Amino acid sequence: MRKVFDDYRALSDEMLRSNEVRVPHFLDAMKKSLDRRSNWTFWLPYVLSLDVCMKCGTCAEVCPVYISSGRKEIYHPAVRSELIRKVYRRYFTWPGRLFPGLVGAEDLTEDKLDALAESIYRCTVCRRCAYVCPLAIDNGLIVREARKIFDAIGIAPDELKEKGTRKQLEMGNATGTPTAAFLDIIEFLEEEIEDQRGYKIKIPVDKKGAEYLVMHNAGDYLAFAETVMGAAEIFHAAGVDWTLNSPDTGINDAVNYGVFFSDIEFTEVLKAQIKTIVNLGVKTLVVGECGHAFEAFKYLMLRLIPPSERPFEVKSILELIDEWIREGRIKVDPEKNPEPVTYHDSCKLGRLGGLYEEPRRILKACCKDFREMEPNREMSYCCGGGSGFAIMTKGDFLKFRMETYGKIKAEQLKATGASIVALACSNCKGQFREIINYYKLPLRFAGISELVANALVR
Amino acid sequence: MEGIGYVIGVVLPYAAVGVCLAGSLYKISFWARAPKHLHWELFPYPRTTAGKLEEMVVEVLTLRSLYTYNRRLWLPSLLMHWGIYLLALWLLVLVTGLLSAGFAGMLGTLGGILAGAGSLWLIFRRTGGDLRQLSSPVEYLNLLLIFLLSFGGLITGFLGSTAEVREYLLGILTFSPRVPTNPLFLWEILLGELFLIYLPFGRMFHFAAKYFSYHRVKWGEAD
Amino acid sequence: MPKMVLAGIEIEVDEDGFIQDPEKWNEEVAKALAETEGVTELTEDHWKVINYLRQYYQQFGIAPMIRKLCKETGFSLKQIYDLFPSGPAKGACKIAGLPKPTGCV
Repeated sequence: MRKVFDDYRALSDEMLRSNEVRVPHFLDAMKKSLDRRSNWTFWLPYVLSLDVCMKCGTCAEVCPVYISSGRKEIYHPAVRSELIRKVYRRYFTWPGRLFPGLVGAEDLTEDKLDALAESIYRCTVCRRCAYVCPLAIDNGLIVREARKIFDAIGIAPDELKEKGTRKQLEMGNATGTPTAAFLDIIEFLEEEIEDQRGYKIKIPVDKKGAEYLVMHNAGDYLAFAETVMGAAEIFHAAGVDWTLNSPDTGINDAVNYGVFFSDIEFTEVLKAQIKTIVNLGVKTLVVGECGHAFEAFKYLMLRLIPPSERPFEVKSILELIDEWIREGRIKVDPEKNPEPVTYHDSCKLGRLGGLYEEPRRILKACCKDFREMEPNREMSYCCGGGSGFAIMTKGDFLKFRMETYGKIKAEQLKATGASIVALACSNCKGQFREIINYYKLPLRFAGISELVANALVR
Repeated sequence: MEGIGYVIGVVLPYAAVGVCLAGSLYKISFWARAPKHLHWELFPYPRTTAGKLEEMVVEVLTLRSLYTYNRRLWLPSLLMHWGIYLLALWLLVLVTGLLSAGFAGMLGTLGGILAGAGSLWLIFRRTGGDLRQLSSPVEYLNLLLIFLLSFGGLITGFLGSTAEVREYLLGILTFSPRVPTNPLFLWEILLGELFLIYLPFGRMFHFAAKYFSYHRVKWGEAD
Repeated sequence: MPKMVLAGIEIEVDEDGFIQDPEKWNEEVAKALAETEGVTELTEDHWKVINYLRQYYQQFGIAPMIRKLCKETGFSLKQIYDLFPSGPAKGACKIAGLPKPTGCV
């Protein structure tokens, strides 16, 4: 493919609409994005981040892509933000209109637009840089706002939109699993649990009025079934009234790729999910092991949907398991997981979600040898699967993920000496699967639910 | 010269302070009127007022973020910021007359030295490495303004000559302004006026922006 | 849509080289697709995976769960990676003429 930014391409020429004139549309959309009424959702952090960066470069010192690329200028988080800011200053501020050279303002061209579109898909919005910024300026947010502008002019990765949010709204899940296949999966999982554990459990589906609706990332059923099985065993062991849901009920997929690139898509998916949950009449929505779904339901939903329209509680499966272990509702024996286990803090669950203690308490209760990965918690490095990257594999894009974020993660993993890395996010699982394969690491990944189920004492 | 001195020494101070206040109010209300955005905090963050205050004070006084993550910039930046804090203190002590004039002079001189040295050091830091690529002329001009203001204050004797400066400032504050006796002071006063006029509209206003980016964004906001 | 000549016929493929019309698939096309994936020879083991994928897809309209694929073919995930270096989704499904799997898989 044509080179527009670096050696990789996240968006093909077709997706970039590179044979069209896009700059005027982009500027129109950017103008709207700067309006506090039409784009209120993140307006304050957005304008602050555009206006007050002191260019100290502290962000770059903690950016996984920048560090692992050997400090390549194009991957510097503030240099990336400057691509947007230059346009912002040139077209939307007086100093930039009058003295462009002095304040760093530049005209936007079609070529620069291509480079910009690619550049914002080299950052996973892990917000490690925002955490350390002396001014709390957020390069990740600028990236996300830029993705929104591009989406508004019809430029978005098809993995996230056409085959993501659009497909989810049409089929009930982004994997395109029809109900017949879903039920076949459930039957298979019940058999697998019986084969593996020697006891039969019934996995409830579409049970109206259940106390808990467990909504997994639908990809888990296909790719990380051990997590789904683990969750079923845990809910069964806890003896609670719970259910999964099939596409027949509406949306049966916790993902919301709108989080990554569009508030409009985000809201549409969220509303469809809420409608499904309300129709099922459940008390609590349990968000399965999916980082961005947790962010969406636990935080982003709050000021977007009035409380009266979402009459249910939201909990991460991690919060629930942690509670149940502490209450003694489920009993676990760490001897059943004797291998050394480490944990990777997913950005969305940790830095953006505040779940640091829950997974650690769970793992310490369920595993004999728990080891921290360094650095961890708020300084955890993004695995490189964030903001949709885990499912973006066009051309050499996988190589980008492996040679930047993945490289750091592989080193961190090796240093722990663990033989299992526990993960609580599907995007992380997708990325770690590739990291382990690419770097031939002598370990495997496991969902937290899988490890808990392994340790269950019945 | 008489006319220019009058403009700089008597008219512009009010204009500069007026623009600075109006500009600050405009900028602050621009941010304060922002609609409540979706939750976008980063964990962990201090939950109590005391905890927030502590983190902010430590950050302002020690520039801990730079110390921890960007050590190369920490010392020059710390010098400059402390210089500015001392200069603010100098102004306060001088005007209120709470402490001895000698002490005020010392504060002013020390502040000028630190801010001048820090800003100059930062200009040099900015000319190399990653920061060079990142910087537009305006970044250097901001630092240059601080350097000229501090350095000018030192060589014109503005920061050390407490009695004359106090008299001049009190004249302004009591609305009986007089052109300062030392004509060299006019240069320093002019720079100070430029600084005040520019302050709310440039990135040096980050001290106010920081309130919003921390309290409203990074630390969340109570519902 | 780009087109590719596979086994002598012109076939529409998506940007990742997945064929768009499953009806156009045949064993010769599979061999040609395998080459685009760096798989030079399709052994009996490869066919076992490919045939299962196709059979499941024809029944349910979607690729099977990876766990089920492993169980039904008797291969571990690692063995599947050995057979199809880009993995079950991007490698095996492509050669089997299935559309590219979507969602977080």
